[in-house]
Amino acid sequence: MNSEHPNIKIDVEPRPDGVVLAHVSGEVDALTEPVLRDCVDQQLRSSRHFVLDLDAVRFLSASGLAALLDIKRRASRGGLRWSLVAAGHAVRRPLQATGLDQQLPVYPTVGKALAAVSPVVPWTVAG
Amino acid sequence: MGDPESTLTEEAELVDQVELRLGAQLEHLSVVRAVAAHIAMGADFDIDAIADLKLAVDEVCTDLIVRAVPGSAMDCVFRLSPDRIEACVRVTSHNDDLPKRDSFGWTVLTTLTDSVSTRLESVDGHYVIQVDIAKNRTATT
Repeated sequence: MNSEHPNIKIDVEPRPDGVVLAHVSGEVDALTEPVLRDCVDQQLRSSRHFVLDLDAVRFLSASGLAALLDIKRRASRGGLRWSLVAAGHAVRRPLQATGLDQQLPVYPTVGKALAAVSPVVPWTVAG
Repeated sequence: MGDPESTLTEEAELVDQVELRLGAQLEHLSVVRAVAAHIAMGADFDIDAIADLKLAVDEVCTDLIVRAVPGSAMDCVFRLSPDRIEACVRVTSHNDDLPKRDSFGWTVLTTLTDSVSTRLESVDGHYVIQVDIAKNRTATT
C-alpha cells in the first residue's frame, strides 16, 4: 500500500511478525503532513504495531513534529507500540532542538526501531 | 527594532538583503525554505543553525499563509548582518488574529530562534500581519 504526494512518499511494508514498517521519504511540512497522518491512521485503525522510518526525510516541519506527538498520544491510547527511525540530520536536529527526542521513541536504525516494537513473546492472534 | 521606513541606510542594507514575493500558498513553502537555507549556508552558519532557520522560516510562513487572504501575496525579506540573519514575513489578512503564542508552532519558533516578534497594521479595511524572526550566528559548532 503506498501513499503518494509530489513532495512525500510513504512505502508501507507489512512484516511477517505483524509489525508494519513505513518508509517515509521527501518533505514533511504543512502540505504533506496529512499524508503521514493518513498512513498512521490506517495502522491505528487496524491495531498494528508500526515503525516510521524517517531516514529519507529531507525536511521535518513543526507541523510534522506536532503530528509525531499526536501519533504518540493516539498509539498510547490504542495500546499500540510504535517507534521511529531518525538517523539523518534533517530529522534529528528538529527532534533534538525541541527536546522531542526525549519524549518520542526515537532509534538510530531500522533494526533497533523494529526490535523495540516487535513482539518478544508470542502474541495470541485476535479474532 | 530597526525602523523599516528608514532610508538613510537603505542602500547599504540592500546589499545584504534578499526579498521574495510569492503567492501565499503552502505549495511555495519549499521555495522559501530553500532560499532561507541557501542564505544561511552562504553566511557560513553551522549545520544546526541552518536547519533551525529553515524550520523557523517554514513555521512562520505556514502560520501566515493560513491567515492570508486567498490569492494574495506573501512577502519575505531576509537581512544578513555579520552576526545574525533576520527574516521578516508579511501577509494581508481579513482578520486581526496574530499567531497564537500558546501554540506548539510558536513554542518551536521561540526555541529555534533568538528573537520573534509580531506586528499588526490596519490597511484599507484589511490587516497586514508581519512576523520577524532572527537567528544569531553560533560561536561554535
